[in-house]
Amino acid sequence: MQFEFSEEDVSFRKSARRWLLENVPTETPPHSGIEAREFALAWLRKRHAGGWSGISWPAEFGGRGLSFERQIIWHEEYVRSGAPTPLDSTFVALNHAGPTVMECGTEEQKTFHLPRILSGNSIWCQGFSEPGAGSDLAGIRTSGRIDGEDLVVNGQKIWTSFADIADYQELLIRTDPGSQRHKGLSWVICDMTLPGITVRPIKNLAGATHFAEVFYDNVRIPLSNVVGALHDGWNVAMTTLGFERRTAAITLQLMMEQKIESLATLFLSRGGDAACSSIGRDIAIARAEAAALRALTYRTLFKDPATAFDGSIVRLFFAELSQRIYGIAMEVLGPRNAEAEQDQEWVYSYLEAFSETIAGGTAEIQRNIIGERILGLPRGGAR
Amino acid sequence: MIDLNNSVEQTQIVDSVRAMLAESYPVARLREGSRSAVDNLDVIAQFGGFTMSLPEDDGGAGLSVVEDVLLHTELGRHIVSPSALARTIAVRFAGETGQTELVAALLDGTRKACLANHLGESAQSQTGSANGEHLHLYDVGDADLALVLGPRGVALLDVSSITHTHVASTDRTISLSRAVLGTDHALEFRDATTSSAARMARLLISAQLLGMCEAVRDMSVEYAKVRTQFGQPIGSFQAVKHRCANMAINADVLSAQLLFAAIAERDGWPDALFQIEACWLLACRYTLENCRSSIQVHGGIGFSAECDAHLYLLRTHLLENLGATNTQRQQAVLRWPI
Repeated sequence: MQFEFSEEDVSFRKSARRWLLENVPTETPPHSGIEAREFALAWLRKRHAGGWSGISWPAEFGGRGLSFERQIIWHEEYVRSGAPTPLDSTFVALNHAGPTVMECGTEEQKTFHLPRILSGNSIWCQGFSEPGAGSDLAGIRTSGRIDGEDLVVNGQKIWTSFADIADYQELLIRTDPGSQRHKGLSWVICDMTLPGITVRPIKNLAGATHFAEVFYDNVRIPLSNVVGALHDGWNVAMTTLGFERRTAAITLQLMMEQKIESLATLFLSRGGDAACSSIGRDIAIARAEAAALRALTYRTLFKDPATAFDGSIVRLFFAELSQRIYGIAMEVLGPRNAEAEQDQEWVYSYLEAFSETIAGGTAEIQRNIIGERILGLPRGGAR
Repeated sequence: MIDLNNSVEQTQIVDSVRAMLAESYPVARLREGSRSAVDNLDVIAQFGGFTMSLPEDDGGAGLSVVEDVLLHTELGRHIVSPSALARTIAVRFAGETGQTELVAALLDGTRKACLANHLGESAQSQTGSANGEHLHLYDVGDADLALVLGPRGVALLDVSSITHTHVASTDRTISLSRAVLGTDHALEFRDATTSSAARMARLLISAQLLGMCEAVRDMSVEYAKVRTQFGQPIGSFQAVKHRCANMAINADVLSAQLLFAAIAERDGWPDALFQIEACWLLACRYTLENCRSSIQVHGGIGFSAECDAHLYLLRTHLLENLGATNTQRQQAVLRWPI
């Protein structure tokens, strides 16, 4: 067991720190709409110009191709600099769609899309969930009927983050008529400007409007936009699971330490009676857990996984810890949490964090995965 | 270079420790009816288990606290006597305080240490009317030294210089004694900011707790696979499955933090003590949670003394009270410099 950075790594850290210090935007990022798009793209373009875009992307696709050590250093410095959350409108492109195209796309698809993503010139959204296919994703019904050189798409997607400002969508649809469950799906690149697409934004419980329903009415998508084999979309969607441990989610995980430390500072500065109060206890436990989340994050990177599903534990632990931390914040703020103006980022984050245990696999589904795929418990009849 | 896998040597250590413990310290030895006297730790001593991290020149194996942590995780799994903690830490303590003769005596077995817990001064309401510092001693047996753990750190005490009386123990697998130190018996504690022995105590207690945290997870999962009700293994029901998943999360998070804290201590990171305090806090909390869950997953048999689950529960309560209370641990983590 070793945990050492080389001298070259240390100087890499210095240059990352220096660049971030000089370039991190100081204004609060807008939460939604065209302003969110412009802000996220401007920040990504800045990183791209400085050579800091695609730090986990292989060099052949224009990324930095950094070692895990240097990725960690970048994430640590990113957090330290107070840079904006990476969970913005560029997240899907950089961490999901891009890697999928890299892995399964044609040369044309790679040549066209990857440079645009890295340089901050295209926003992607994810079209997986449907009204009838949430936790049970294999229940997808949106269809793509083959007609000549096109797929004619009809149906509906929902909970699509940034659909209103995206250029492209990674769209999972049923292309083999009459197919069931995981079979007969295709992973398709959908241009969001195509005729027949209607986006209806949905306001979330935090009052922000960054997700939407998307309706498809005879939308013609060229068959050349299918990524991977036709009808093999489920496997294509699963390919990027392996990429997950290299995503900017690491930044989010490391950010929790900073959050709980500022909360502890806030609590102690307001004379919180740490010895006897349940808030003091909760903060202490959350602080220890944020430290453990860092250890867990590093271990998923630097230890051979026992199962392919080890990532489920860190994902779920992060989700629930962030909810606990923002829940504590509401308590520390006390009656002042009624004001949406003051300390608004704590309140906003508290409300946004409800999505952590729902989006991308609910906590319940994650626990099923841990129980069945890691512990080997039997699947139940009633899902 | 970062690599968090066990090295080949570490894997070999873990494998041989497991074989040794399965042979000489099966958990079955602690079950009602088959329980013998206090654990004899000679097999672990002969294995070199108490001197792994001692320099080779001093008769040790020249390894580090990381290997001690791996060993004590396995000792926890086998609910080995708290004297194993005492014997490992006492050598380190004697070494760092320059008591070379004592180091030699501990190594050749002419002196032996048991573990003691400092209950605070004048704990009259709990332990009678005597004034002074109150101690619990565990599995004294033929030990003539006690390694004392308290909020102020660790200290060594000559057992022959005190009188101790046997009392019934909540953890029925150990022998418990009570002692009161007179005012002439001031203990000289060394605290965790300066003493590596004190930090080691926290790490090794955490390691033993992790071993138990994992053991009850494994027991529960195995039981949930074979116990059937309503015509299905109970592990197919989400209520049980999710309880098991929570146990897996607890154990996994704790093992990651323990690994990190042990490396931090070995390599002398500036925040090593914080990593250790965070680990210790979670170790006590998560292991207790897992023990309680394990009893629930086992249902009726879990409530019986025939099931091992309660052995882990009772030992966890013993370990979580060593050296500090939960409140004290929380204070340390909360107030660590920000």
